[in-house]
Amino acid sequence: MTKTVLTAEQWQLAQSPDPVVLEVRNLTKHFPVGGMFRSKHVHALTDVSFAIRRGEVLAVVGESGSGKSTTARLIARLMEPTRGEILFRGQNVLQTEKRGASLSYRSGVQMIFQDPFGSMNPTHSVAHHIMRPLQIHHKVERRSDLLPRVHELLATVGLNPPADIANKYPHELSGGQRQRVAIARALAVDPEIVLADEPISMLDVSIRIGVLNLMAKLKKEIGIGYLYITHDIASARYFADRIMVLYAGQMMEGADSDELIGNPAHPYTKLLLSAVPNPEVALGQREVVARGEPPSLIDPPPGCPFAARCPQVMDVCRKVMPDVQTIAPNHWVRCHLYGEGSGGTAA
Amino acid sequence: MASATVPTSLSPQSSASSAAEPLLDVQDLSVEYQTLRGPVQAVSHVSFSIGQGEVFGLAGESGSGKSTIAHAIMRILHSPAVITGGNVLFDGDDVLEMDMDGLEAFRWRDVSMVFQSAMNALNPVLTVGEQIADVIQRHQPKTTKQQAKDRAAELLDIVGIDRNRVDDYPHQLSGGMRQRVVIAVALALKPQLMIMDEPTTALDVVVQKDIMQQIEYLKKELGFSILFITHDLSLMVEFSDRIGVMYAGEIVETTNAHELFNKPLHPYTQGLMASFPALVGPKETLTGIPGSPPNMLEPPSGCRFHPRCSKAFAPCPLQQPSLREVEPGHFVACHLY
Repeated sequence: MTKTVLTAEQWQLAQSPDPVVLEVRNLTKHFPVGGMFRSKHVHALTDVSFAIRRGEVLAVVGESGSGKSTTARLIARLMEPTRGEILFRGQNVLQTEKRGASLSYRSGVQMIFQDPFGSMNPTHSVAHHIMRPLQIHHKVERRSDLLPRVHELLATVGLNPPADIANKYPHELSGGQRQRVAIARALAVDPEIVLADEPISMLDVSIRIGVLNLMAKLKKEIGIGYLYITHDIASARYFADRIMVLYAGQMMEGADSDELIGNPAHPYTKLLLSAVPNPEVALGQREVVARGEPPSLIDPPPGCPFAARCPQVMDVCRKVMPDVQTIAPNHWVRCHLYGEGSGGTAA
Repeated sequence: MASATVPTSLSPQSSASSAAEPLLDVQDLSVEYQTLRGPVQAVSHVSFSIGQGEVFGLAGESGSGKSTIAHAIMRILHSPAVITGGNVLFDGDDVLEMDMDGLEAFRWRDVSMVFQSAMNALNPVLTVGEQIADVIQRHQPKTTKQQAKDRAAELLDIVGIDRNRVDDYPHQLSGGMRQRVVIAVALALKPQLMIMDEPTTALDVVVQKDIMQQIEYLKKELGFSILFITHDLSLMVEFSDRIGVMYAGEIVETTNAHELFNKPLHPYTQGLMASFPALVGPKETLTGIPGSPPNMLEPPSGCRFHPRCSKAFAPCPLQQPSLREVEPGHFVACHLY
């Protein structure tokens, strides 16, 4: 299985001269479950590899249980992977920082969580939430510089007037404002990569786009690269340069956003796209390509996890997980329908 | 595909039903939450009707009053919520005037409800069959245990679950299947109207699609009407015949689904439309709507949307616009029209 490494060279924006900031190789997380001997394992994530360049947005889409959040949490080093490599600025941080993430890694890779209500302490003011990382990471030289920097960060995320907002407590803010505070808090340490785990899914619909637009502005102006985790493939198209589809912890397909949505190759990607409510496509033109629900992740059988639901399933699909096949520039897929056909051999 | 033919096949039916007596007629409904910090007008003078076999959608953001309306229709509002005015006519009878016996018959037999996050509404220590049978026996006391169980199995069949799972406990089913069980419970007494409050919000899109198609199919087979509540405008346009858009407790625009999608008139509806990235077509920079929904303890004067509205002008902060028919069947509450 370990041979299906997809390196940054295999999948990159050809036109982009920007350096790769974050790369993961064969990232895998298996959780032990069950009785006293913990003999069973949930295969939450298996051999996921990708790279993110400076100022680039990679969206990871999939259903619940597909491993999206596990990916982000592994990279944030909230838990340790079963195996795999995380390379930040070319360094394998799992080797160099065995005892947990260093201060410099944590300032380089920040995370925004889904729940803007749960990610803030209700007993502290907005200013406190943003001062803490500034102090811990020594981002200001003098104490007197702290508050001006807080105000500056609040203005950057569009919270005006900053002096008023800084004195408020989380309960005095709306969900959208709170998520902006969370973004300001992440920005405080000058990160290069922001892991955004469903950052807009709990917000009111009318303010979601505003938060996405803010994140896009920061990408353009500061060069922040994002791992954008979402179940909403339309928002991925809007915000991301590239999209990767996960299913049952496995990479299924990846391409530039428009290519993936315009020319989906994997039967699962097609299913996902056909299920998105979309009044603009005549209803009669849409077909459902598969039914059912994702499989159990506990010690899954070999082969493609989508085989049980796939309308185009072949014998080989139940035996061997297909390798990565490049089918167009910047477009790869893991499916036996493409490439040599017999499967199991690298392209 | 079941939903493929719906908009065309249902539009004549819905226009016909609007001419006939509506099944549900909500007139001038107002609901207030009497909080310690003062009254909150959660629903203000809301009127709409639903015809036989029609799907009426209530769209709006959290706090706009959608769910409060659903609870008021079912008469399951709890203190401090109080209905302060209006009528809810079901088949000509005023639900707000019913006594406990009347409500007993009305709830579930006439109107049933699928709640938000209903997947967690099932009792974990009873099998799904027992929970469906319980509803049947409660309302039809003459039914024997075996009859109720057979009917439960039949209902599971109807919602697309293998009838052999009638003895399963909720934890043995996936989220999507649990939601189907909840729909089976709602169907148990063959109601004429089903209120669905965010029925698929907690589910993945593929499961959502599956369930919505199932509901579509059942609606055609069984002929019930639906009050469909969601914040997902795309899903709503796809699924509903007519839509009412709510903002801060008021319906600000109402018309048939495709008219609303193709020609939204109220700036709030237009803003909502500009808040959903499209999956196809040219990539446009969307604007969303500036600001946030109002604090209902101190709602803005005049039109409640005016502080966020890009087209606000002199009368907007002063006078509350009323819902007017701007084009045939297209009602808007906005000073622009």
